[in-house]
Amino acid sequence: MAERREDEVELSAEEIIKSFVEATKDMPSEVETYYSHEAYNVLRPDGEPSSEEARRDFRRRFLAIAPSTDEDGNIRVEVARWTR
Amino acid sequence: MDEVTKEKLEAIRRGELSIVENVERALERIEKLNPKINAFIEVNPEARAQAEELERKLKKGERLGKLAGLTIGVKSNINVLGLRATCASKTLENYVATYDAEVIRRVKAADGIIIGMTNMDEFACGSSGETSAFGPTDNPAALGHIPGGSSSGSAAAIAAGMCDLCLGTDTGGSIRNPASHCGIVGLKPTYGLVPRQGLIDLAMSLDQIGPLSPDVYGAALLLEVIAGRNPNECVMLDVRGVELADELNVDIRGMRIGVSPKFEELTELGVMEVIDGAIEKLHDLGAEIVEVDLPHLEKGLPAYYLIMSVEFFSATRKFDGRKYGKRIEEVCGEEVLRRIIRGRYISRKEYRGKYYQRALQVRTLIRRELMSALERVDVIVGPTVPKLPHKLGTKLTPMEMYAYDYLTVPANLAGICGGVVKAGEVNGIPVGLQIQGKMLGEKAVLRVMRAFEASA
Amino acid sequence: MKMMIGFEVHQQLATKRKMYCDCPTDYRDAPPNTNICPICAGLPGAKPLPPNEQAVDAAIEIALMLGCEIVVDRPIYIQRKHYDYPDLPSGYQRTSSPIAVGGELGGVRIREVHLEEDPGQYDPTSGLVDFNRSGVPLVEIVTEPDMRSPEEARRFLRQLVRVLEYSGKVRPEAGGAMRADTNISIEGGARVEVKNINSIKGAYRAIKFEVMRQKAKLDRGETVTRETRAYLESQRITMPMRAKELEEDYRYIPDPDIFPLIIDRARVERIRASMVEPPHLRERRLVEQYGIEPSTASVIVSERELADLFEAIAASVDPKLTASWFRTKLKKVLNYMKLRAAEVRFTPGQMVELLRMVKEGEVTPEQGELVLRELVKKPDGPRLIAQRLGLGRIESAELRAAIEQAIKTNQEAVRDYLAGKREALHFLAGKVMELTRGRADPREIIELLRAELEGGSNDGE
Ligand SMILES: [Zn+2]
Repeated sequence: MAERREDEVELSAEEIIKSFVEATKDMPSEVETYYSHEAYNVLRPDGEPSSEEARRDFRRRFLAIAPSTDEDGNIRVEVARWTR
Repeated sequence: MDEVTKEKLEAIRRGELSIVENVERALERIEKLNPKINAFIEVNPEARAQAEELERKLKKGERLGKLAGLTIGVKSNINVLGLRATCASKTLENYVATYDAEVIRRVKAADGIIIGMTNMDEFACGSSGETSAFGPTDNPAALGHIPGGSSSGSAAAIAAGMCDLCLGTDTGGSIRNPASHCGIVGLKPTYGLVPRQGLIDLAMSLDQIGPLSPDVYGAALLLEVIAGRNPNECVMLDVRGVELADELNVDIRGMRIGVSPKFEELTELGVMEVIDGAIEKLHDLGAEIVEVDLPHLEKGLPAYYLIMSVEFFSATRKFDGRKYGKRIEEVCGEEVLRRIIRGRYISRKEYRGKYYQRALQVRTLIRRELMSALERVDVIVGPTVPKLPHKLGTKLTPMEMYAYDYLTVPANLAGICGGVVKAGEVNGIPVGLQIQGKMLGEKAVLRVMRAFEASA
Repeated sequence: MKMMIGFEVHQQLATKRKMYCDCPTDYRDAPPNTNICPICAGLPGAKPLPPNEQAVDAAIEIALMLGCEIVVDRPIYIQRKHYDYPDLPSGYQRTSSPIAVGGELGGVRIREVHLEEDPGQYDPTSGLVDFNRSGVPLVEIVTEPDMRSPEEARRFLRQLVRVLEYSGKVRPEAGGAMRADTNISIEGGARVEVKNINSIKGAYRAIKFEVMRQKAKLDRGETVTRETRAYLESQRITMPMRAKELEEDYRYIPDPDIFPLIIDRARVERIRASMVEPPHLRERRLVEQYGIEPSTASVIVSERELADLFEAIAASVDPKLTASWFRTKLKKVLNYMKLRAAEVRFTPGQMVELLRMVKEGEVTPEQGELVLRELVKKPDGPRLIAQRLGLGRIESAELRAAIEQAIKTNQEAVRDYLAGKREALHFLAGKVMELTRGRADPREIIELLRAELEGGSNDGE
C-alpha cells in the first residue's frame, strides 16, 4: 500500500525534473554554489563538556517522547534482521 | 494597519494597556476566530502566567525588553520548549519540543510572549497552506481563498489580528508568499543573519526565519530581536545585532529602485497592474526607477525544486520513528512524499552530476545575476506572487502549485533579503509588493517598505 | 593462494567534547542516554555546533605520523553519508572528504584519512540503543588492499594501533578496542566486506574465517559474490549482513550546516613541528643513534613512554647497558607488576644513578634488579634503597671467609665437584650467596670458588 503510493507520487515527482532539464539545456557549465555565502574553518575549540545536570532535563524529555524505552534509559527499537 | 505595533508598545509602556489584557485579548480572538481560520495548531497554556510575570516586573519599574508583552505566534517548525513542534505533520504529531530554538530564546529574552504554534504547510512543503495534516488555513483577508504558504497560519494570524507578531520561515517564499496573499508585512532576512538552531529543516542552505507583522515597524523590531550571530552555529554570517526599527522613517528620495521586464512576463495582468501602480508611487516619493536585466530568473524555479528536494531528503532521514514521532514515509502527505522521492532520485550517484550539481550551477547563475543587478540599484521591486490565490479546495497539479514561487525563489537561491508590503487589491484580494535587497540590505528594504506603507 | 586484504580502521579521538556538540566524550560507566543533547541525539531542528578544532588537528597529526600528504589549500567538505541504521540518530553520518592521502606503514599503503563522528551504540540482538557514543570524533584510516595473509593483516593492525597510541591523540581506554571494517578477496572471487570487528584478535579471526569460507566456496566450484558481512564475535564467524549486487548509495552531499575546512601549509607545519615521532621511525633511529639491536629497539618503542624514558637515560649512561636493562630487567619488572610505562613514577635520574652503581660495581646486576623493583614500587634514591635492603659489595675478607666456610661445611659437594660434577660448584656458590646475604657478585663467587677448589686440589697432589 505504502509502496503503491510511492509509485504514484514518483511520476509527478519527476515532472519538475523534466522541466529543469528543458530550461537548462543550453546553459553553459558553471561552478556549483553549495552555500549562500562562503566561509571556511569556522571551528570551535575543545573545552570542558556540558555538565550532567545541564543535560538531565533533556534526558527526561527525550525519554518521555520516545516510542519505547527500557528501565535503564535505552531506546528500544527493532532487532536487527541479520541476527536471526 | 499603519504603525499598530508601535502604538501598542507605547500603550503598554504608558500603562494604558496591561500585558495581561493584551494576552487575554489575543486568546479570546484566537478562540473566536480559530475554528474558522485554523491559523493556530496549539495555544501556549503558560501565556497568561508569563504575562502576569511581566506585568509584575513592569509595576516594579523594571525595564522590559524590546517586545515588552507583545504576543508572538510561532510557526510549527520552530522548537518552543514544552510546546509541540509538529511541522503540521502526522510524523511529529505528538513531538513535544525538548528545547528552545535560538530565536525563541531571543524572543523570550526580549519579553515577547509566545502565544501559540501556528499552522503551516506540512514540513513547509507547499505554497497554499493546504497540505497541513491539521487542515487548511483560511485567508482572513480574502475568505475562502488560500492564505498562501508555507507560513500560512502565521500570516493568517496577523491578518485576523489573533496576535501581535509572528515568526515564519522562508525557504522559497514561505514568508513573502502568504504575506502577499493576506495583505500583511513579511520579511525574509539575508541568509545567515538569523540563527537556525532549533528550526526544523526544509532545505538547510535556503531556510531563513523571519517576521510577519501587521506593520513595517513590527517586522523591523522582531527582526532586530532575532538577528545576529550565534557562536553555536556554524553556517551564519558574522554579524552582531542590527538596529532597524528606529531608522525606518527616512524618505526614499534619490534611492535607486530596480524593476525588471521579466516580472511582467511571468505575472498575471491584474496583479501586475497593482504592482505598476505601486512602482509609480515609489517614483512619486522621489525614488529613481531603473530597469535591470534578469534574463534567467525563471530558471531559478526548477533549480530550486531540485536543490530543495535533495536537502529535504537528507533532512528527513532522522524521522525514522525510532526516537520520536512516526516514520515519515509512512504517514506524511503527498507533497512531502513527492519531495522526498524526488530528492532520493536526483541525489543518486549516477544522477548527481546531471541534476543536483547542475541545479547548483543554476544557483550560481541566478545569484550572479541578482548580485550584479543589485550593484546598480539599492533594491529591486516587483510582484511577490505571479498570480492571485486560488479558492480553497481547488485541485492544482504540482507544477501549477510550484508556479506560485517563480518570483520568490531567486532571493533564496542568492541568499539576499526580501520584504513584502501590501500594494493593493484585485477584486478584494490583497496583492503584495516585493522589495528585494542586497545581502544585509535589510535597512534599505525596510526603508522602502516603510515609505510605501506611510504613503498609503 | 593469492589474497588481498584491506582495512578501514576507526579510532576515537581524545577530545573532551564531542565533534559537533558540548556533550562529554567519556561514556565509560555513564548510564544509557545521559551524555546526550538535541544535537547528538538527532532531535528535530538541532544543528551541529562548529566542528571541534582539536579533533581536526588530531586527525592531521595522525595522518602525518602515517606519512600521509595533507590535503592543503583546497576545501575539505564535511559530507553527509546517508544510511538507515538504528545507531545513527540523524540517518546520516558526517564524514569529511579526505584530509590526507598517500601514506605508508610497514609496507601497507594508506589510501586516505578522514574525520568522522561515531554513531551511537545499538545492540542488534536486544534492539536497544544508547546515544552516549553518538558524535564522538573518530579518525578513519583507509588502506589499500596490500595485505596478503591474516598474519600480515594482524601485524599491520598491531603496528597501526601502536602509532595511534603513540600520537596521544586517541582515547587511551579505547586503545586495543579499535574498530575496523575489512575487505577480503581471494583470487577468483569478488571482494567481501566484513563489518563489526572490534579488536585486533577479532580482525584476525574474521579474516581467517572469511578466507576459509571463500576458499571452500571456490573449491566447490561456486562463486564468491560481492557482499557485506558482519563478524559475530561470540561465534567467531561472519554472517551475511546485506547482499548487494550494486554498491550501496550513500548519496553524499556536503553538509549545508557546516562550512568546509581549508588546511593551509602553516597549520600543517605547526602540527608537524610538535608532532610525536612515529614508532616505526623511532625504532630505526634508536638503532642508528645508539647502536643497539633492532630487536631491542623494537621492545623499547613498544610504548612511547618507555622509549621516552630510554632516551632520557641513554643520554647520561652507556646506551647499550641501558638498552639491555630495558629489555631484560625493566620490561620484566613492569610485566610482572602489570604496569604500563606511562605509570612509571621514578625519574630518569634515579635509574641513571642505579645503572652507574652497577657499572662501578657498587652493586651486582642481580642486586641492581632488586633495587629496580623497589624503584618501580616506591621511587626513591637507588643508594638509599640499596642500603635499606642491606645490599652492597662486601669486603673481600668477608667474602673469602664465607667461601672457606662454605667449603668446610659442604665437603660432599667439594668432592662431587672435584670428581667432575660441575653443578656442584653452583650449589656451593648458592651457599656463599646465603652466607653473604646476596651482597656478593655471583660471578666473582664462582671465580673465587673455582680458584680455591682447584688450587686446593693441586695442593693435595
Ligand atoms: Zn550532544
